[in-house]
Order: sequence, then C-alpha cells, then structure tokens
Amino acid sequence: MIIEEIISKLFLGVFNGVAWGLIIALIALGLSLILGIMEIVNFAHGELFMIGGVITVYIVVFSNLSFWLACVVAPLVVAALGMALERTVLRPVEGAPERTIIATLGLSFILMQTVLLIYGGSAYNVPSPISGVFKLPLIAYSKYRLVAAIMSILCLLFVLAILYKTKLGLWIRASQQHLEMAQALGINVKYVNMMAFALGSGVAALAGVIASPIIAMEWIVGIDALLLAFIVVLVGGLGSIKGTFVAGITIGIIESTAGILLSPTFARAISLSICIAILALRPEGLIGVWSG
Amino acid sequence: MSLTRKRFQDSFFLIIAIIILAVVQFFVPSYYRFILTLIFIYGIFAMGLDLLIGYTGLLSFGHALFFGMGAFFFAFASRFYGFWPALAIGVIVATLVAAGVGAVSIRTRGVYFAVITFIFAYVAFYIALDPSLYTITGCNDGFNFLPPPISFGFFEVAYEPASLYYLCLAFLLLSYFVCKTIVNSPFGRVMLAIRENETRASCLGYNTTIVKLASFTFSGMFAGLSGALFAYLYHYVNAHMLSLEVSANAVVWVLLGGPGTLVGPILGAGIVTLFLDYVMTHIGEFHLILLGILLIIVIIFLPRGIMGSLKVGYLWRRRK
Repeated sequence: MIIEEIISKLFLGVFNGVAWGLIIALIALGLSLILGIMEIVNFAHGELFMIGGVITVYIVVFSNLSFWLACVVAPLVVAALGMALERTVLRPVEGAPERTIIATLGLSFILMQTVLLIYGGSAYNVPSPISGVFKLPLIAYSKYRLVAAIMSILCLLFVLAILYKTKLGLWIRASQQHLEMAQALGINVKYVNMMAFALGSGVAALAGVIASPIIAMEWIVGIDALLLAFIVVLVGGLGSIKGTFVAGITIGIIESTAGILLSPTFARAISLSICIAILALRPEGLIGVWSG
Repeated sequence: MSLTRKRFQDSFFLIIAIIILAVVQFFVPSYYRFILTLIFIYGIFAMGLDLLIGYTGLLSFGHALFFGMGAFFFAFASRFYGFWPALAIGVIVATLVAAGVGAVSIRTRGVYFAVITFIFAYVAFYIALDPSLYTITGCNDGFNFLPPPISFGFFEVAYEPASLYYLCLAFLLLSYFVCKTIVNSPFGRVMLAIRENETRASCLGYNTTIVKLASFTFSGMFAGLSGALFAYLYHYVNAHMLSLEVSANAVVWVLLGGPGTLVGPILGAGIVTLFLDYVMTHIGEFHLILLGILLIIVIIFLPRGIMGSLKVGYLWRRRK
C-alpha cells in the first residue's frame, strides 16, 4: 500500500516536474540569450517573469478577460518594458558584465517594490483556462500542465525560428560570435542588442503567463524563479539551448519529486548540490558552450 | 609627496577621526547614537567586503550568508556562554562557512562568481525560512535573546547604549588596522595583482586560487563579526539577515564609498544608512526602490565611488 502511494507520488512528481521544468527552461533561455549575446547578467529577469504573471492576474482575475489574451498582451508589454530598460539603464554599462549585474539588481529591486506598491502584497491564483484531468494509471494529471508543456515547447521553437530563420536572428548570432566583425559588416549592434533583450524579456513574461495557473503570483516570486533559472544556466552551460532544456527538465523533475516526497526546502538544497557538483566536475556546464 | 609625509598625514587624519567619533556621542540625541553604532557595525562589514571587491576584484552577492551566520550563531551561543565566547563562535562559524562557500565559488570565473555566491546565500535564506526549522531559526518572526554583559575578567560592562557605542567603535578600529595590515602586506599586493590581471599574477608564480580563497574567507570573517555585533545590538535575529537585500546593501556601501579605499566603504555605509533612515522616517517605505536607484546611479555615474573620485581629483590637481 505504502509502496503504491510512493510510486504514485513519484509519478506525479515526474509529470509535474516536466511541465515546471519546461517553464524554468523558458526563463533560463531568455537569461542565457541575454548573457550570451550582450554579456548582461540579468538579475531583473525574474522580475520580468513575475510581471508577466501579474499582468495575467490583472487580465484574468481583476478584469475577467480571457487567459489567451494575456498570452499575447503580457509578452508584448514586457518586451516593450525590456526595450525601454535596455535603452535607458543598461546601455551605459553594456560590455562590462560585472557592472551590468549591479545595474540589473538595482532594476530588480525597483520593479519588485513598484509591483508591491501597485499590486499589493497578496498572492493571487489564476484559474486554469483548461480544467479537468487525464486519468492515468495511479494518478490523475491536470490537463492544463500538458498544455503548459506544449506551449513552452512551441515558445522554444518560436525562439529557435527567430534565431535561425530570420534576418534578426542572423544578426543576433553574428554579433554574438564576433562583435567588431558584425559591426564592420554594417550590423546595427545597438538595435540588435535591444531586440535581443526584448526577445528575452518577452519569453520570460510568457513563462510567467504559463506559470500563473500553476503557482500563485505575488511580488516576490521573481527572485525564486531567477534562482532556479541561474541554476539551470550554470548546469546546462552558457548559451547552449539544448543544455538549457535538458537542465531545465532535470531540475524541474528533481524539484517537484523531492518537493512532494520530502519537502520544498530539501528539493532546493538538492538543486544547489547538483549545481555545485556540476561546477566542481564540469565548470563549463553539461553541454559545451554554444553548441546550438 | 614623500611616503613618510603621507603616512604622517594619514595617521593625523585617523587620530582626528577617532577623537571626533569618541566624543560625538555626547552631543547627539540617543537615537543618532544608536544609528552611529549601527554604522560602525555596517562599516566592518563594508570594509571586509572591500577586501574582496575592491582589492581582489571579485564581486560577491552572498555575503549576507556570513553576516547571518555570525548573527545566528552569536544568538545561539549567547544562551549558554558569555559575550566573548559567543562572539568567537559566531565569527568562527561564519569564517568556516565562508571558506567552504569560497572553495566552491572560486572555481568559477567572472560574472559566474557573483551568480554562484548569490545562489548559495539564497538557498541558505530559503532553508532558514523553512517552517520545520521554526524552533531553531524563528523564520520570519526571528527570536529575541538576552544580551550577555561584556566581561573583562575583573569587571563587567553592562549592556547599555554607551558601552555598545564604544564596543562597536573599538571593533571598527581593530578591523581597520587588520584590513590595513592585510592590504599593505605582500599578500595584499598579490590581491591587487589578481584584480589587475589574474593570468599574469599566476604566471609570476603566485597561487591565485589560495589568495582568492583567503581574501574571500577574510571578508566572510568580517561579515560574521559584523553580524554578531548586529545581533548583539538588537538582541534579536531573523532569517531576513540572510536575504539578498543585505548582500546588495553591502555592495552598495562599497561601491558608493569607493572600492579599494577601505575608508570609503565605511563612509558609504554611513551615507546609505543615514539616507535610508531619513527616507523611512520622513517619506515612507520605499527602501527597495531607493536601494535600486542608488545601485544604478553609482554604477553609471560614480564607478570609482566617492573616495575613489576624490583621490583621482586630488592627484590630478597636484599633477597640474
């Protein structure tokens, strides 16, 4: 009896972990993109995720509008915000990664308390746009989590399509490979940087929208998401999209399984230990730098 | 200017500063005496962090961890022991934790160092907030403890504002001399060499890993001392002493005051503390926004900090 219960919990942990891991991977994707291209360590990235979720709460809970509207509006609003932030605050410090950490940490504090002042300190749950569960052997799995996983994968494919199929993507990859050469060939690197930051911000906001029916959105969730995203980037290796997704799903499954079987704190400690082990054994991450 | 004259000038300013700080507490209201005591404690923290940021060139966002360890272990130990053993336990635990965290973190390079120290401190913060540890850490509520009197063998000094003021001032001065000695020693020169060019320093035969680890551990030790004194001043601790905000505050003190100047970070701690205190009492609860604005302003407009800019201006005037 007890074994059956543990197995069903394990199943649930793994399935939930895949959905949650894909969301973390989306956040980490934006973080890794911005770090790889612009050398900006974006401590405000978690806040962009949180703002995406908060906009969803405004649209769905406060205004009774559709969840799918939030999927469109939130990424666009946050991408515009990201563009504005990049132009005003980050442009003077670009090229000096350690200075960008401090500037983005400042941004993160400002965004956090602004949201606290406007939105208030309480957490809101967004109702799932798709209710109901799948009956699997041993467990019932919520349909929304499957949709969340599919949306995350679609978003990843969208980002990959931008990076590899459009002119902007070509410019982004070119300035990532060799900044001076790209400039010499006439690429407007400032414009490319701004668009890359907007892309990263929009993806983070979409992750926030997707996560909002799963976790309650409040002003402090950003930093938690940022922590997990950093762990995923460190474990997966900088700039490797494959690595980011493998690490995201792994960390997601571990967090959710250990969270159900033991405790969320224990899960966090395990994620940290994995991160330390990877750093000690393979400082460049699971999968090498920019292998695509 | 000859070196002897510069030394003379430095010690002259130092003695004036000590005298002013020693008597100023008689002339200010008791509330500001408390704030000054707090600034001395923060000054120790800032100066220790300056060894890492300003001299070794490593940016850490995890020093709240050592500050909090010092505070918590001082609080735990003061239930059983007197002031000095409790202080020693707090500082030793913080130093050991710093050595452990440092040993892992220095494997990373550049910006990842800041990220991994942040991850360490945040996970510790998360663990301290875990409800199952409520009886130990008190989570969000924290806990009060009875502050032990300071005993000097023959006599005891009671726990009162004036004695706290001089205690913290004495520790600040002690820390300053220790930091000054470290910085001026051959070891301190290697720290500077690592800041300027780590590859070259290692090519010259210095073991940069050991030096980086030692400077991290030293700065963790000062953070722990500062945390223990902070806990003693408030006779209260809570999990938020481990939060990112504390680490960020310390980084602001160092950067605003001027990294690599030792005195600058103390000044930075003073300015930021007085400023935030003024805003909190007169305008409202905006400290996170203000902290954020300070971080951005300092990093864009004052990359050398106040003392650094003064120094550059002074040298430039003399050269003309």
